[in-house]
Amino acid sequence: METLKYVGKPFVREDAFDKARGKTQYTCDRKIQGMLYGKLVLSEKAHASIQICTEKAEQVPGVVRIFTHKDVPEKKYNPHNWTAGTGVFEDMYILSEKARYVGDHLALVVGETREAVEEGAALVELHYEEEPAVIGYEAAREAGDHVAFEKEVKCGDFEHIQQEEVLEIETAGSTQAIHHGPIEPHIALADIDETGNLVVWTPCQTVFMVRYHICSLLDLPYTKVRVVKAVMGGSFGGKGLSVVEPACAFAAWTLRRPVMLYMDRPADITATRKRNPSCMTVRTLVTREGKILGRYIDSEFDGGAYYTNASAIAMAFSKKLFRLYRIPNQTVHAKTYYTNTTPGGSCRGYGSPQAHAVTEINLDQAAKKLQMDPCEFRLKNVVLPGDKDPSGGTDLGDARIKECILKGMEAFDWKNRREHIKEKDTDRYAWGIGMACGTHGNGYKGGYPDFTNVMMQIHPDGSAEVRIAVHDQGCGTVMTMQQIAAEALHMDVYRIKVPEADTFISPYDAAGTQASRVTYVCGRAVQKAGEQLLDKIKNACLALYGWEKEKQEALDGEIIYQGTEKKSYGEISIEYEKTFHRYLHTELEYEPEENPGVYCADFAEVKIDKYTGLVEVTDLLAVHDVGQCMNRTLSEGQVEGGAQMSLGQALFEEISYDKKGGVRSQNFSKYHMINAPEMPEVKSIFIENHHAQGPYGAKSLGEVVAVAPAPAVANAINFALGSCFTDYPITPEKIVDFLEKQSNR
Amino acid sequence: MSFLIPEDLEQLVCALEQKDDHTYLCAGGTDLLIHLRAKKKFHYSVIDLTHIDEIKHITEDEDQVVIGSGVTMTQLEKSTVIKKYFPALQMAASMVGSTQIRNRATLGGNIANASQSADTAPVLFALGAKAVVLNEKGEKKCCLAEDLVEGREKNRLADREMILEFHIPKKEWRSAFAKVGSRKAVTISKINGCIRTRVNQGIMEDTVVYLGAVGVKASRAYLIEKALDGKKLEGFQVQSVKDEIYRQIEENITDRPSKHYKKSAAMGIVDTLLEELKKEGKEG
Repeated sequence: METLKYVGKPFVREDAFDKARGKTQYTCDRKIQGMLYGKLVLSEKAHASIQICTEKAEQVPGVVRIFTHKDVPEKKYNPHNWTAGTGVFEDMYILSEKARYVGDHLALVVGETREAVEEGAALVELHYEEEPAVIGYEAAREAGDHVAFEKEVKCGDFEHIQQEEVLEIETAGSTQAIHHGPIEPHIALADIDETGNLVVWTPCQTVFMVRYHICSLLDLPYTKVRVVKAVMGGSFGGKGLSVVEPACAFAAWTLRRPVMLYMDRPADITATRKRNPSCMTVRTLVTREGKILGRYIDSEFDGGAYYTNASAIAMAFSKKLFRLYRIPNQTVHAKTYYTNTTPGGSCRGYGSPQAHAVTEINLDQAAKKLQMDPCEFRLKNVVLPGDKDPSGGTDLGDARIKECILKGMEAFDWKNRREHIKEKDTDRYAWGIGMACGTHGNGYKGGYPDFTNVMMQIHPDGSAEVRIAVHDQGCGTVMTMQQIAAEALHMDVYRIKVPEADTFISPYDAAGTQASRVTYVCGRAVQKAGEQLLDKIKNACLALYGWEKEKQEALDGEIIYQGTEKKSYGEISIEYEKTFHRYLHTELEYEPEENPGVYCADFAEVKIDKYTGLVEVTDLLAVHDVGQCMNRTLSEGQVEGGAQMSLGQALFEEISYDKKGGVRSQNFSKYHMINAPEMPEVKSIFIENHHAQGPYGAKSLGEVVAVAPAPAVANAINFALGSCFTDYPITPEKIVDFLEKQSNR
Repeated sequence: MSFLIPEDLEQLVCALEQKDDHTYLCAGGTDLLIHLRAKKKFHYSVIDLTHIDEIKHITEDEDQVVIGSGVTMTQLEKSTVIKKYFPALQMAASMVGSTQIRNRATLGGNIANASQSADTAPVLFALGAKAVVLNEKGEKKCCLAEDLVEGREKNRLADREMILEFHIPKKEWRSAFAKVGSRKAVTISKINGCIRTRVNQGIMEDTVVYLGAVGVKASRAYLIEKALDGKKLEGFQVQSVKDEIYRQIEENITDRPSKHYKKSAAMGIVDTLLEELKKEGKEG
């Protein structure tokens, strides 16, 4: 691999200064002439027939219109379907005809001011005729007919494993409902442009998906709806499915006026999407020597009140379990239930945070039973580069999990600390260290259509424009694409413009920001387009100046011929257009050939207050098999942010429901995320072994980072206390309860 | 609907005179805004208390320190007078909410809001703070701060009364505050507590303990007090008073399922408080 000049370097993103200074204009900061505000009226009951009385609300000065189910198109959609061909069961209206969860969208109040809309929404009277609500797995099981999806994925034959001296380790555990917690709640702004097109600005993950939903629901041609990805204040998967866009577009289209539909935090927590809670039993069979022979996983998911991702979450979860360890006989049984709670949806890691949360604890228990070091035990079983997926998924590629563990052990001083950490224990505090591994994918290849299109051009001023439908979620996707294009074109990163997705200007992209595909798939497409365009520039130089291609060198925006003559890209562009009546541009459609795995090993140290049950994560090391960092600073940012989410999963976060489906944690005062004082310094190590198919050797990073810290912390706690916590989050109350029971024994 | 901005006590009295059921006093607004949103109030009047200089200062005379009701948590946290005489109050103020909250939230508001989790309440009560209350006629009355709090977000102020200032006696006390929330910072207390004591030749005397968030309002923890008073501070082990601590919590919140957790957490509170008291001896 020749030395990279742009990729990997810590270039500063162009939006960084404005964001840090609070100057960035988000959708909520915008104002359009004649703009109305919209607020959804949400159900307060989990399951009920409803009658809506809008009379009082309509009296509020400034309220323009109140929509209910009666007003919206009689057409259902599934906000999870990202293309017309995805085809998953459709069961949701723009506004619901009955309440199926606390937060269900029942009415939309539109008015001249926020104040009018707020007051109007408060005065909409909802009369409920309550029906029994199904809350939690037990109720769903008992209800009988609440199974939305069920499937088994397997390899080998778990039931007939025959070997003497086999140990079975069984672990039952669960993960909680998680709110994505972007600082910007859901919002959309819709308007009708001067030629009668419906334009929707939304901080979303997939503009083509939003366009599909709006066109389908409002019966409009694709060519009349323009969806523009707006500056985004975080998503983490929460804005991966349409939420407010259809209602916003519907209101603007109906009223022929611009409408901004906004949400507040309680709405964002209750009435959007959540990470599906899961519960599972894991049975692992190992030999005395520590070789895994087989595993059986029986898992259930809470899918919420509408179908959304009921099948996708179960499948994503199941498939990942075949890609981290060599397990010859494995069966994963997954079932998703309908319940009367917030619908499930994408959430950073899609299935991986659930898959690894309990299985990684199970492996620690196995190691304990074998009296083996948990790292050594894993090393005996991890997949190796070139391995196949025994369940029939795509090949694992250059899978470097072994290096992740070995590097981590060394950097963390694992063996020494594991042996001596308990010496720090006092009456009040217990210390522990633990580790866990994780894997994730690189796109949809092998499952769904995964391809993208790029259009790239060099302008007469020497700047480059890259048109590709990317959606920066705040993680620096645009800068990543700039760096890749710069590397391919040999020119200044900051003279390359990558406008974000806009259905009127971006060429088609199959799946948007999903499935950790953007760097791996879109990035590679940009690399190839860049190489193609550079070749075109060189051909132009041959035609214009008679320069032999082999003797041309591209350097910093110029072509240098035989080390003496040179022309800037701008000059070449001008002369090419003048002489040949063509523009310096290129287009390509790209589909990846494979979908390898990415891998990580995380190491955590915890200090537990045995009186208050509070756990402090005092050290965290994350080792990632990333192929190649795109931008060192941004990569570290991903690791730190992912750790923040995963540690929240381990210790604090939970959307908790009461028996009737009421949401207890409707605000950040009750939904506790890890904040700055609570965060440990996260140390990152990257294994950069250059995956052949990725852009300049890169693989995905943004989701896998949110997978392993949680089980690493759980394992550290269990090591510290001799406990076996398997239900997330491991709250102070659970820890105190365990210790009290232990001392009373 | 009106928005009144009194700039001195005279104007404040006039404003109070006009106050009706739909008028709210706004000191820092950190609790008020949440309440207004939760209650879905859209039409109301506000008396803005943030422009009255008289209630924004911390002063001291020979026997006592006077703290205006409009003094913010940040002021309390940074005041050398508070740190010198009432370390517990400084600690409590420094642990309320976030930096932004502490810049606005006031001592008067924290007491008048009467939350069972209020962090300054156990401290003011333990230190025997008195409150001066002003009414719409311009009359002032004085009572124990503790007597102003009914609990569960209800105070005992009349409709047109407000807290003007607090008086805390200067004594040879050590004091400490501790809280346990769901995390280290920006957190609401699941339980908090304050000890004030006089350490005489190493022995804790005249010890008063208050615990918060284990009842409708912060209350005196007599059982714990008794177990500590008369004991040597240095080398004191919290384990030796575990029974008393557990009984105290049991007595406070017999019917609450949270009592199991709070018993253990109270151990942590008392342990931290004793550590802080020991430290104060070394610093002072």
